[in-house]
Amino acid sequence: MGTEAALRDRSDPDLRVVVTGFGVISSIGIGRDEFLEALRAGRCGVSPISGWDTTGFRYANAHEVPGFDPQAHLRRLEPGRFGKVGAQAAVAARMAMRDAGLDPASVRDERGVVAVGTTCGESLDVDALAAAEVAAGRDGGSGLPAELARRVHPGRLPVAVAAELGLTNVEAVTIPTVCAAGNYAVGYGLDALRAGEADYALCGGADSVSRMAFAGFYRLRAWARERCRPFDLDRDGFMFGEGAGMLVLETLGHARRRGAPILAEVAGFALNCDATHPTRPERERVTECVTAALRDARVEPSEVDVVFAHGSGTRINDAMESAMVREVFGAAPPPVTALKSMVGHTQGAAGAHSCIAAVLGMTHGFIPPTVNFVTPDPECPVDCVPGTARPARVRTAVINSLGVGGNNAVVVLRHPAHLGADATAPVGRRP
Amino acid sequence: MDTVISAVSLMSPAGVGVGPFREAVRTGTAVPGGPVGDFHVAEPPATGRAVRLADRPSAMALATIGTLLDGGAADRCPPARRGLVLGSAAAGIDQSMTLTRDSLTRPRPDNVNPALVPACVMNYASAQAAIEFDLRGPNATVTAGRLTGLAALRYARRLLAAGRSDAVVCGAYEDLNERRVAIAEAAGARGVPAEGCCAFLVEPGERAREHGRAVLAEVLALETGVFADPGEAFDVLGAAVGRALRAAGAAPSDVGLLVPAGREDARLPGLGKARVVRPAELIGDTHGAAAAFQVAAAIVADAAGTGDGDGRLALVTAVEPDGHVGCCLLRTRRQGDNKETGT
Repeated sequence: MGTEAALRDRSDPDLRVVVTGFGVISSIGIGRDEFLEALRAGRCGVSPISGWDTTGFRYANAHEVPGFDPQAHLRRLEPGRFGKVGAQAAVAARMAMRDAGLDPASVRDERGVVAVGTTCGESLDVDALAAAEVAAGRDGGSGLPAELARRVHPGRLPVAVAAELGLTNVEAVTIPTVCAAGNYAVGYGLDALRAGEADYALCGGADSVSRMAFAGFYRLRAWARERCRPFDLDRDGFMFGEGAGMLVLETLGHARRRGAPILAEVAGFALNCDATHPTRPERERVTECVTAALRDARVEPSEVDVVFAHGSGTRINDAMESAMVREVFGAAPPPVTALKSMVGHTQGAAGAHSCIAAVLGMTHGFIPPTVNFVTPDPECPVDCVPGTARPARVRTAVINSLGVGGNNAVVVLRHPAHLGADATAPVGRRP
Repeated sequence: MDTVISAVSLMSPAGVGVGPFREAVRTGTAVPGGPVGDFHVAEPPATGRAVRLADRPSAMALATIGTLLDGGAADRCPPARRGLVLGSAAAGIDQSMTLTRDSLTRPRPDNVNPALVPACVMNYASAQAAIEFDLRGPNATVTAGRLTGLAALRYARRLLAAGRSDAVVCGAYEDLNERRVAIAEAAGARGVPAEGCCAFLVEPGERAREHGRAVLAEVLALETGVFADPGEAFDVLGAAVGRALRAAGAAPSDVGLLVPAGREDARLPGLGKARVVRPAELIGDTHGAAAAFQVAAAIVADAAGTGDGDGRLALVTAVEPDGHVGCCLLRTRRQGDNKETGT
């Protein structure tokens, strides 16, 4: 028993796991085209918080998706039945299925996975319940609005996805492993597909920007005042973002049989836990996790073209990650980019957003930049692709993520060229 | 690979430990739900490890996992190969509402308790348990309402099958608090609110036997589904049960013990011969811990003369009104009455 046993069964290329589509909602763009354009342009989606009243806070910026009403994009879910976070997950999933050319009705009888990562779940509804409690003048009292009470539990997020797509034969789970949850969800789908226990998987994450999270992290002085500036000498914290990212994963065989476009291979994954301190990440464990993911992907560190860092913009994280990169990749590491400078810290969606950015980088030959970067920090000796997107041949990308509590999860994505033209050709149309 | 449960530890409204729960299950004596009366949150022991705020839900989880591992179940497993999958349905909502409330009502909106922040998110107990018991392997938190226990068990099984862990501590918990009750009332939930926590040691059967641990139950199949319309729930559950039985090569009539979440068994054909245990009617609605208690009930429900050497088939079925349904088919083994955890 061990990793070797799991690796042994991967000789059949048709059992390899690939990304065939994605859906994205973020402060810098909604949908493939907008998101791609924003990544290339190096847009920063920061704005003053508009979702709720920030009176009394000295600063209050975030990466919201203002003006986006998920309800307008939903076909089946009736208004008000799910909270905004679940609705966003459902919209992103619908986009992902369309992107993958996968008609939900065509997979209704197949075995699916729906794994949605989150940090704060239906946090806007939690805020609203607290406000209702205050308005009622009771502490923990009764008389809460039924609609909010019915939709507040985070276990509903994948239900929103499945219900919107009309899917019932799905293994549905919410993975609230906070800010690493998006990568956890991708890893979950990967393992289910590798094990032959699913035919397709919808994996990703969703979150919003709530008063609860803002007030808490503001109080802890962890929230950036103006902008999130990963790897910059003057970085002063993270900044939460709103949004969702969902990816369609399938086995290569499944994708080929339906002639689907192969966007990338999910080549490897690893997860571990610091088990030392709730908020101070342990470099040694993160190094082990990245190394394990590369081993799982059977990729040498020298083959990696880019690292999508967790890059949260906190003093501790970025220095730790820079040191980790040196440890794993040696004195000349690949570029290390921080998507959170653009989309904010999208929490449970962060890993999914980074995976999607990596897929687009592979497809279109560029590395998205770390924006807001001004002054290098000697403690962060990495090439963070400052300011502007860089043309690059991206064949292998490492997506790193960390969750408070010591949760680490790493995804390795590879360009479909690695699978060989023969392997990716649709069945019946082999060259 | 066969996945087995080789140890169980729990606390329920019947009391702390497997014993009082087993007694309730075997005698059919209901306790009126509510809190785990004899569990009190103490300051964490001075282990030098960074376990800080001891809120009730994570204290329950830590105490239950502590008992599970007391028999040395993790000792021969390298820390990096020890997995943990833990879940609840509502952990963090009470804490989050306190934080938001404080922000809304105090003179300054940032005058909130910073120690509360990490407990507002759902992986708090998982992270605390990892620190307390040096679990450096995969550490996952899951939630699926009342199916959380099944979601955790399935995740644990998959981590083992993928070779990511040698053994996984798997569990589900839910504490009782006023807000949880208020939310349940407002949502129109039926059932007497109750709290509790169950933890299992999940590992390959071969490993359990190598380490001299009795196999309490083999996990033969685990199938779930989602319904959008409550009218579909029983059809989706029926399909999941059908898949589970087929996967195990079993017929409905082979099921010797049925452990439903509510009264959904009335809608499942062919299971009429099975003995039925209803944990929710014995200990109340433990919300996120409910399915884990059903699995525990299947393990402890041994009645004289019903099991044989090969064990018997127990079927756990679960329905979460939020949209999850699922089932777990177990082959349970008769256990001696004095084996508290099976280690």
